[in-house]
Parts: sequence; structure tokens; C-alpha cells
Amino acid sequence: MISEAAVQTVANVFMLSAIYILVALGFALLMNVLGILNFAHAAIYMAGGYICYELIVGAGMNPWVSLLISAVAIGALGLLIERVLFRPFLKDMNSIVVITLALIIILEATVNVTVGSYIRRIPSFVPGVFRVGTVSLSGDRLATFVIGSCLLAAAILFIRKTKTGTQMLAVSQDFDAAALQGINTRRIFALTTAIGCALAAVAGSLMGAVLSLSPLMGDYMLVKAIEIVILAGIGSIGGVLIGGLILGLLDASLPLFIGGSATDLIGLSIVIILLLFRPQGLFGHEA
Amino acid sequence: MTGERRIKTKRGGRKKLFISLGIVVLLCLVPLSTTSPYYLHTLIITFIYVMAAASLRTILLSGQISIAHAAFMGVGAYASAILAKELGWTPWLTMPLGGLFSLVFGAVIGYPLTRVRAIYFSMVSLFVGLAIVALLGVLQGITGGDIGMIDIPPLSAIAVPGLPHIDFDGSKIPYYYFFLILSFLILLVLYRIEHSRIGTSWKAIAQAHMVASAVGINESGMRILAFSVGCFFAGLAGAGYAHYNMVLTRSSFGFLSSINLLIYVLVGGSGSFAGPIIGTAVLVIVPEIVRSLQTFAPFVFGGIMLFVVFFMRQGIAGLFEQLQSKLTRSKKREMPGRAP
Amino acid sequence: MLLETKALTKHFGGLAAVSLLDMSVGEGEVVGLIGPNGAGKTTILNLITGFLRPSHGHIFFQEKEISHKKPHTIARLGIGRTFQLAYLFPDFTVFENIAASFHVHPRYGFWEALLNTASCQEKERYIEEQAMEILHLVGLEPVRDVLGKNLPHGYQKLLSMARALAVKPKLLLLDEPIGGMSPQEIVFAMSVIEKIRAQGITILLVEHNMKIRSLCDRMVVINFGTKIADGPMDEVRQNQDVINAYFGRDDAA
Repeated sequence: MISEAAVQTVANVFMLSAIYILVALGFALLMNVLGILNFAHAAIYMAGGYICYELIVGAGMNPWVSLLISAVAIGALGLLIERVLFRPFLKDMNSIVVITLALIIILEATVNVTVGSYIRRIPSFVPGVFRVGTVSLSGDRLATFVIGSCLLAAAILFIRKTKTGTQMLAVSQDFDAAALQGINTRRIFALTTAIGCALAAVAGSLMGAVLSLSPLMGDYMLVKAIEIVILAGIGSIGGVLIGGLILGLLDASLPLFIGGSATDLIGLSIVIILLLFRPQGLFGHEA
Repeated sequence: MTGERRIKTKRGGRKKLFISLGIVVLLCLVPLSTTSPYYLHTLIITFIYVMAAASLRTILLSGQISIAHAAFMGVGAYASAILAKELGWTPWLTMPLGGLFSLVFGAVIGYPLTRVRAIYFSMVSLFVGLAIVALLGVLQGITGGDIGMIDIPPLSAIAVPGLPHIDFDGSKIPYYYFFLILSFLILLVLYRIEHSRIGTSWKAIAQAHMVASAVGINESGMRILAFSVGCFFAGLAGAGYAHYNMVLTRSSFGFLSSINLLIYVLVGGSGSFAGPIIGTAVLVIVPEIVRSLQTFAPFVFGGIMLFVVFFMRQGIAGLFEQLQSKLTRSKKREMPGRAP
Repeated sequence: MLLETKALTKHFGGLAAVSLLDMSVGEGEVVGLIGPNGAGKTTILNLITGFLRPSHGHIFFQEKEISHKKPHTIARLGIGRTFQLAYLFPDFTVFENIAASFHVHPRYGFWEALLNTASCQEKERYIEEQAMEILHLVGLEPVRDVLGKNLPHGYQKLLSMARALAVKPKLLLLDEPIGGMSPQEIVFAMSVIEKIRAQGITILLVEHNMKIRSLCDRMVVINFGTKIADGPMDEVRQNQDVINAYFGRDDAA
């Protein structure tokens, strides 16, 4: 007989992985296509969650509608950020670092000022509990996994199969060549940022329902996103899935045995060692 | 020809010396005009961060952007605190030991760390910083874990025969002068290193590392040196903080603090020695002034950052340089004419 | 033999960029390394100077093996080099570029530098004098205070040579020293190379522009990573393999 706890843990693994991957994918897209480390990505994830919360609780809207609006709004914010803050500085790493850090500060302060920096819980998207055999899984956890997987599948299909997606890949591999081919790189940048941010917003909202919203959730998630991207390696979008699963597995199961700090240390050590001895990650090419 | 150029440097150097001495004298006079512990505290914190920011810039000089600097402050802080509290050694001894500990730690981690390329270095340094903080948590037996460390001994009194007895127990004034002198000395040392051949080879590595190798510069050795020196002074600054604050929590040495230090350097202008000093001063003191608008302080902070990025490419220090070069036409930018 | 390679081989993935190369350069010679684009010439230079590690084979400098040494060690042994893309220090002036390149002679240690001792200052003066000399030799006097990144292309190439001379090389490797230069600049650059040679420095250069041939004692022709000819220019230009390499085989003939 499989114990209840074990099944719950497995469910947690998938749920956590789904959220991690949604955030990491956007981060990876920005890193590969625009060439920037968007430190503010996790703050955007947090903002998406809080917007969704406000819409549901403050404006009394339907949870699913709120989720959608949050994603769209954050996507639009991404467009604005890309146009005004990123595009002028794409070659200047120092400036981008300062800009993204400033973004974190401003976004967190905005949330503080408008919604208040308390820990909140987004009301259930899918209330209730589902029984699978002898095991009960919360509706939200299931929903997170399902939505997460669908979005990821959609994103990957988009990148692999559509013309725009292929253009994104082209830009990520060689900007100059892509531009010479007539690809509208500005449009690709804008679209990539919008998609990445929207995905992060969805992740934030789901996380808010399944666990909670807190002002520090961004800091926590930023580390995870970078860890996953490093595990996956430069240039690998598919690797993000594997990386996210691995990390989700670690983070959902280890703390039960050795506690939070030690789990963090292990995750960090793995990544550090990987970066030092195999910087191309599990799936990346030799950069 | 050579003589002319050397005179120029000496004159420039002399002017800078006067300005810095002038600032130091002004700072010495502060406690005479106000004994408010709040102002003194703000300035003390500024001094500590200036030491940390300047040593971060040392690492930056060699082309490595470290996001772990606050963590190394933490290493020095906890090392010194533990030695002083558990073994009863005087902080005057444990502080440099703390710095040394941080240096060794930095050198060991730096050995593999400095071999990876620029952007990877930054990413790994981020994780190294987090790992150090996590380690401090895991070692909660001696570090106090999340609760932190308390009852850290303050600097022991100076009781040298012939000099007046100085206690560090009561007011902040002795601490103020201590940190003023310490930061001045550290800045002097860092300035000297930067303008020596060592600093030149760092700058060479940062600009064109292949060329640097091709002229005999030991790239990885120099990088480790830069990193270790930076960690030493960070550790020293952290140790100073430990015996001033007398309480340590590991969260003050985390990701956010390292980011803050980086911001101080970049906003002040990483291209000049005065950059980190100016950046720290502005970004620590201005939000304090705006403190009444408590909730808006972060917006001010973020706003300053964005403003500098958009309008002051070289940071705030760069602004001064631009003004200076407009006033005294610098020969450097102009091409004097055709081929030989 | 000042420099010698034995069966030098370098693989990139499945591709052999350099294959079983045996070549040598004698003291005082000026040897030209020529061949079609992509033949592996720059790879050979990178292998010699330690920027790439050989997959197989050996490289000897002054009879000692240097096959797996690091670039800075090789520089200290007395091999200087320029890069095809004229890499230099963009934020240093021309003079600073040269002065910053004196890391082989003289050497001084950390504490010496830190404390600015008398011997350190003396070495600094020495460096400044030497840098001035090189500046004159290479003809960069008029632009000594121009920042590296503002230098026009021809001057950049000259600066690369100047920089390489700072290591007091016994062997100087020049990667396309006259590439992209105007006819006047080429004449001047070649006179500089001649002056360098007159100082007794051995030169191995890679070049496409055949104007360089008047400087070279001998040519080594490379194609597909292997040596296909080795000898004085007149001999080499009549070599059938060389003709094929450059002009392709005329099967219809």
C-alpha cells in the first residue's frame, strides 16, 4: 500500500515543478532570446499573483477571469518594460543589472503600497478535493499541474512549430544572422518578453492559491529560476522542463528529511558544482 | 615627453589628496557639531558600506561582477564574533582574523570560481553567497542560526600608557572615529593597489583577457588575487560591524545586501575609484533623509538607480569626470592628424 | 631550431583542424605561414601560444616542450604574438597599452608593488623608457595618447606589434600583420617588421597578402591543416599542390 504521505509528496513534486517551470521558462526565454538576466522576473511573478488576488478579492471577479486578466496585464507590463527599459541597453550588461534590480525594488514597493505586504491566500480556483483511488488530492494542486502542463505544452509547440516560434529560436542562436534574414527582431523581443511575463503571472496566481502570496516569494523564486536555467544549460528550452522537475523533486521531498536550510544548501551546491565543471548544464551547447 | 606626463599625474594626484584630506577633516568635525546617535549611526553605517563597496569594486576591476560580497562580510563578521565571544579574544585581534578568514575562504572558493567566464561568474557568485548564508544557518550551533548571535563583545577599550583611555562602551563617538580612520586607511590601501602594476594587470584582464595572457599576465592568478583582496576587506568591514552592532543575523548578509552593494558601486560609477564612495554615500544617506516618507523610500532608491542608468552612463562619479574634462580640455579623445 | 612542431594535431569534434604538422623555424628566420582561408593557420598559432591544447603531437621551443603550457607561461618564455582581429586594451591609451604589456621583464612581486618601494619605482621608470622606445620603433609616437578603441585600423595593427614586443620575445608570431591596410600603411608596416627582424627577433607570420613575401626567407604552405609545401617563395609557387590549393584543380584541362 502506498502511503498517503508519499502520494501527497508526489503530487507536491508535480505541482511545484509546474510552477517552477512556468517561471523558469520565461526567464530562459528572456535569457536566450534577449540575452539578459532578468533579475526582476520573479518580482513580476509575485506581482501577477497579487494582481490576481486583488481582482478576485478586491473586485469580486471570477477566479478564472482574474487569472486571465492578470496574465494579460502582466504581459502588457512586460511589453512596456521591454520597450522602455530593456531595448536601449541590450548590449550593456552593467546597465541591465542595475535596471532589473531597480525594477525589483519598485515592483515590491508598489505591491507594498497598494495591496499591503501581508501574506495572503488566493481563494481556490478549483475548490474541493478529488479522490483518485484511495488518495485525495486538492483541486488546486491538480489544477496547477494541469494548467501548468497545458501552458508548457502550448509554449513548446509554439516555439517549435510556428513561424514566430522558429524566429525566436533563430534570434536566440544568432542575433545578427536573424536580423540579416529579415526577422523583425524588435517584434520578437517584445513578444518573447510578453509571453515570459504572462507565464510568470499565471505561475504567481497559481502559487497564491495553492500555497500563499508573500512579498518574499519573488526572492525565493528567482533563485529557483536561475538554478533551473543553469541545470538546463544555455540554449536549451526543453532542458528547463527536466531541470524544473529535478528541482521540484528536491524541494518537495528533501525538507521532510533534512529541513529547509540544508535542502537549500544541497540545491545550491549542486548548481555551483555544475557551473564550475559543466557550465553548459545538462543539455546546453558549449557556449 | 615622459616627464610631462608624469607631472600631470602628480598634479592630479595632489589635487585628489587635498580633496580627500579636506573631506576627512570635515568628517572629523561632525561629532563636534552633533552628538545625535542617529546621525552618527548613519555615518558609521556609511563608512562600513563604503569599505565593502570599495572592496567590491576591486573585484570588479578584474572584470568579475560578484553578487556574493555581503556574504563574505558575513564570513568575517561571524568569524570575528565567534572568536571574541567564545574564546574571549580581544576584537582588535579578532577583526583582522575575521578578515583573514574571509580572505582564505574567498581564495579557496575563488580557485575554481575565477576560472569561469564573466556571466557565469556572476551567477555562481550569487549561489555562493546564498550557500554561505545557508551554511551559517546549518551551523546554528555556533552561529545561532535564524535567531542570530547576541552579546558580541564591543571593541575593547584602548588603554595604552601615554594615550588617553578610550572606552567603546557608551557613546558612538569613539566608534565613529574608529570607522572613519579604518575606512580612510582601507581606501588608501585600495587606491595604492589599483594604481600599481597589479591594478593595471587587473584592468588589462577586464578589457581583453586574451591579450593579457599573451603579454604574460597570469589571468587566473590575478583574478584570484582580486577576489581574495576584495574578500579580505569585506570580511574586515563585516567584523567591524559585528563589534559595533553587537548583534548578528545571517539575513543581513544575504542576496539583497549583496545586490545593494553592487548597486552602490554601479550607480556611483564603477569606472572610477571615487564611484563606490559616492554611490554608497548617496544611496545610504538620501533615503535616510527621505525617511519621513518611509513607504516611498524604495521608490526614491529605485528612481535614483534608473535615473543614473538613463542619464549618467558612467555613474555619478562619471558626471564629475565629464565636468572635469569639459573644464580642462583632455587630450585623450582627439586624433592629432594623419599617418606617420 | 628555435621552434619545432612534431606531428601536431588538433581535433574539434570530428574535424581535424590541424593534422600531423611537422614544421620548424630557425633562429633569425622570417617564415611565412600561408594557405587558403580556413586552412588552419590561426589554429596553429593558437596551439603554439597555448590558447589551444593539441590533441596529439608536440611543440618545442628552444628544445623544451611547451605543448601544454598556459599562454602567460609561453609569453614569459619569450614568444610574443598578435591577434588577427588586432585585440588590444580599448580603454587604455596607446602608450598605456604598451606600458601595460611589460609583464615579463621586469618582474616584481605583490608587496613590492603595494608598498611602492624604490626598486618598484625604478622598474616603473625602466618600463616607461622601454615603452617609449617601442613607441618610436613602431611609429606610434603621434598617437600615443589616443585611446585604443579610437584608433584607426592600421594603427591598431601597429599597436598589436608594439604590444607583442613588450614581452622581449625571441620569437614573434604575427597574425595577418598587414591585413586590411592601405598600400602606404603596408609599406610602413613592412619596414617596421624589417626593423624588428634586424634586432635579431625570429618571426613567424600568417598572411594572405602576398606583398609580405619579400620579407620572408621561406614559406610554409598549409591546406586542410597539413603542410603541403615548405621552402623559399620561388620554389613554393611552382609547387603543383600549392597551385591546386589556391586555384582548385582544373579537371577539364
